[in-house]
Amino acid sequence: MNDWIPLIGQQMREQVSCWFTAEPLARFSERYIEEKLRESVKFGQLTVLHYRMFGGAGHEVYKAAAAVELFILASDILDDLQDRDAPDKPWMQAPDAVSLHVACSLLTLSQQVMLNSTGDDRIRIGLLEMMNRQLLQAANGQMLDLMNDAYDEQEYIDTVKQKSAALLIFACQTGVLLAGHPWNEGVEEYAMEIGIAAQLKNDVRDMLRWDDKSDFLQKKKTLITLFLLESLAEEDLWIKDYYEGRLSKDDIADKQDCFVQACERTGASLYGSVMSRMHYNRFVELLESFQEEGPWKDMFLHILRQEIA
Amino acid sequence: MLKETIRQLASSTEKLSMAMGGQLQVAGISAAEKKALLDSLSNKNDKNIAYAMWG
Repeated sequence: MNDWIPLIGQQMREQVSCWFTAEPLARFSERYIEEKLRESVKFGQLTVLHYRMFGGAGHEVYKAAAAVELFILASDILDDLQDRDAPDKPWMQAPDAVSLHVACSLLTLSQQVMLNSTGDDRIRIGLLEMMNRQLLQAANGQMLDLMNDAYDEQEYIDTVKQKSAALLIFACQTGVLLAGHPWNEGVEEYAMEIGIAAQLKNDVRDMLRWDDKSDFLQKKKTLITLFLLESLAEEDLWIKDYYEGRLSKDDIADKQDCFVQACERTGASLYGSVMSRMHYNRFVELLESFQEEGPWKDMFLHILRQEIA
Repeated sequence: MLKETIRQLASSTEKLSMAMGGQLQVAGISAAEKKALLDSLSNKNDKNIAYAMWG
């Protein structure tokens, strides 16, 4: 398992070198890939894991895993361009037009690499069909997230299922299909649960920060902000005033401590943790019943626990 | 009921401590919710529980 990341990285670089013949396109892509490899390659590793779990033994999987990670990289770039909350990333330091073009090119490259990951036409068609279906679902979810219009908790969870969980399902099912098996509903189910759990965990973290990535300062509607807004005591009504535009960001600039206390006092932080944990526990339960024997559960958890830089 | 349970725990240091010690009976929530609640309370400071997929 230790060599999965370097092998996936090698394939990502090779495919860029092969298909991006315009020197600047290759140069920017290589720089962005290095950043990605420095951070996290969890999706690609899950592709390899599921390929092995379903009996795959070849090296073709590293190309497919590279295809997955190239898509994730493109998605990360587009997300950061939309949110403008990651100024230190190399794609945010290049002109927007350049990074936008690189991201679009990586989207197409990911499909080409996925096509070339196998010589079996039946598997190839199945992979592309699944890839497009999942990525279209993620696109719908991302759009809903951009609109930031979740009315209630269920609407938010439905958005997360589309936006985030769809990508995890894509990564896992790529390994399954490449190993010659059909779409697996058990994999879909546990990948959905860990996708939701991971997003909610991110939401707890992003709730309490006080910078450009703060869900509160950005007035994002998440499970936790929705809970907070319906739990406010008299002394915390300034939070609602800010969300509804009666207070500006400058008006609340010195209220970080008050905000953190409100999150603790209302139980919002705890609620987010509990909801994330519920989905995580369900994921573990499904994974254990799915694969009672073998090293897969431990390997899966090992991948999840890798720190994101 | 889970939301209300959490609100009550958050508003009372005593109840929160009892819950963290496994001494508080929490009624009206499912077994899955109860397990998640107790797991969250006991792992409050556990930095090893990490399953972030995104930065």
